[in-house]
Amino acid sequence: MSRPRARLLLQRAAGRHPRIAIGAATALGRVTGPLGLGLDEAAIRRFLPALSPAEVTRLRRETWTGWLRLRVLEAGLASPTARWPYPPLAGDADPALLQPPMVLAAFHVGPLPALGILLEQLPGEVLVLQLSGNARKRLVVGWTGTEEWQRAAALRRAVSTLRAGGFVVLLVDANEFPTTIDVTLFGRTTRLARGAFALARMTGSPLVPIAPRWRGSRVEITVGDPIPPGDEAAMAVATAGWLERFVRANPQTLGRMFVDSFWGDDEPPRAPGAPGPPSA
Amino acid sequence: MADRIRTTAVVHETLIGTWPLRFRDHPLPDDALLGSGGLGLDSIDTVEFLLACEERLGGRSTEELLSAGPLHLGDVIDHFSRA
Repeated sequence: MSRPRARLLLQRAAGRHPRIAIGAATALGRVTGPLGLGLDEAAIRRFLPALSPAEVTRLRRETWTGWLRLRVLEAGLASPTARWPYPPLAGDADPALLQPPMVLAAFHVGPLPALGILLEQLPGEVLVLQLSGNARKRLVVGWTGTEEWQRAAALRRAVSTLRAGGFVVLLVDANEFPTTIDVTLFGRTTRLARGAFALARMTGSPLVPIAPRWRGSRVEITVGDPIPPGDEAAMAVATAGWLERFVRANPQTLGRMFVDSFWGDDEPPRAPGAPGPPSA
Repeated sequence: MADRIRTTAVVHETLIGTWPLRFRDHPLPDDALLGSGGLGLDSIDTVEFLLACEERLGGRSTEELLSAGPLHLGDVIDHFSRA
């Protein structure tokens, strides 16, 4: 079978029978987990160095299953016949609790495309600023582009959306953006994209961190407490704190994109008091 | 013409007032790009500057202006002069 045909079949199956397709991805992940697939051990240890070898092995398998489910999710979202809402939503994230104007900060953790399920139900216009990817039918997508003037245009549009009483959603752990704020995350200094914090400050809108995770074949979306607008650095610190707590509580949401967003191929962090690498 | 002269003064004041150390003694020609290769404003600085101009000069939003491509200082002055 050709790859395009296989992709089309996966899209149809995932779109029409999401629970079955996601369940199949889960089963496949369990069967193939012992093959050592998933996020590599070094990457896991960069974030969670205190895990035992058995915990790392289990987490690695979970990230592999999560990756397979994500592929099914993306295929289903690309399907014109996908049922709505897709995938099914679990938990108690009540869209009515999110009152605009509001800046929603997202991260490369868990089944990120599933955030759309919640966003589509929000009361008000939702502008999603993104560099690439699929657009969901019920959301307004503002492509940020790669040029400085394109990013400025996207930000200005976001200001208008917030002033009109809408929501703006954007990624915060996006290392491709040149304007960043330093924060401490998992014990080391890294950068968050500044756009979300600047938008919140400029418009006086609160910033709310959000992140999805799998619950069986459903997705649960965790919504953080609103961070009041103000000093950008203080908002970034609060956001990084929320993100670290979320990932520690849900380590299976780690994925390659998250790892690359923050550390790429640099050296892993040292435990406090541990000797540094030998100098050349 | 008088409008453009007044608008130029307000735009320059806004730029210098927001970033005095960067622009107090800096030439501000109309053909200077706002971004890299010109005044060096990043995307957030640019939006902040334009919002401040909107507040001081009123008139049309700069949303459409920004969508047209890289902006020169003169484009901003022209935009508010026409408003």
